[in-house]
Amino acid sequence: MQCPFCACENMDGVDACIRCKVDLSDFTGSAMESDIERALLQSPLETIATKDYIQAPLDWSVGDTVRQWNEGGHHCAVVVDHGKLVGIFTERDALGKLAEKWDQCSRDDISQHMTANPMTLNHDDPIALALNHMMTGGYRHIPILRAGKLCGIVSVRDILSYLSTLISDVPEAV
Amino acid sequence: MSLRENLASDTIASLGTRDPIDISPRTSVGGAISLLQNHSIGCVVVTEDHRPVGIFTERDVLRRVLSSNVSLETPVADVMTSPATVVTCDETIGSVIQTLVDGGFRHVPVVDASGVLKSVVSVKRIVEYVVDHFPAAVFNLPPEPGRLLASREGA
Repeated sequence: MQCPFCACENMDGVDACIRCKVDLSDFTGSAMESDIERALLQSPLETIATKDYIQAPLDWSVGDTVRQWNEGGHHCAVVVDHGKLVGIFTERDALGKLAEKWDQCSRDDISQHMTANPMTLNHDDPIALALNHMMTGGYRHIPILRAGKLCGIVSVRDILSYLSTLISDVPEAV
Repeated sequence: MSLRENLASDTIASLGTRDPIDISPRTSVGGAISLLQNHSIGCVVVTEDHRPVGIFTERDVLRRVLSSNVSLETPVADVMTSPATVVTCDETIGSVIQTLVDGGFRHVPVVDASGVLKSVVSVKRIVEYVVDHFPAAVFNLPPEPGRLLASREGA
């Protein structure tokens, strides 16, 4: 079987990958038989991360941020302070907390309503890991870091689009 | 069966999606927003005779209500997305994924053969379905041999 993490071909029945030593006992059976699972496990997040995202300073107003979303077709903003990621402000933040007090809150700084210190993943983490965090944490957007610096955003829509592409790609017959 | 096979054969009915929350086109925008907030949901389906005539999502709230200073007393029919794209109960999950991606939707109403609203499929539910195909151990392993997952601050 092919190791889901390093793609090394191993003999069927081995307990651990001969190259990376990952325990393969949980990966036998149907779960690893499809090219789709393998792609989600082996493709790094950088292959689908978008670089077209809004980077907002702490003192942008909520109203201005939402206007930027609407004009550019965006759904979240990463909040940075001196180049460092400090928070994320999403449509859900805007709707969940602010809708009934919009006149007042639209003038607030987004730093007052953002999610501070958001969960991040690394550019070389597998796409499947982001899927799992989206399920367990309920996230729709995850900032992606390279060497500790923000290099993109992965949204649940990015992953669904990738999945859609995989579904459309009919694997070659073996 | 593999994920590819399941995506091509499992139908929406197998997802066990939640009962939909539907409203009349005459419901006020404020009432619709309260439903979104109180039920922690991303959309309500606007129906007549139990058949979808539109959908009102959190994105509609931001784009067509808050940013445009629309009164919360306005009927939801004036700001909903209409007509709503729907899928049928017997469509495969792979087909629904294509509908969600093509339309850029987060939710799509599910109807029976006579067009009556039965449920709503969300992107979130599709994610759960896909994750269920992986062994739990996948998510506990380091992405590179020898590299441990860095500790991360939670949101």
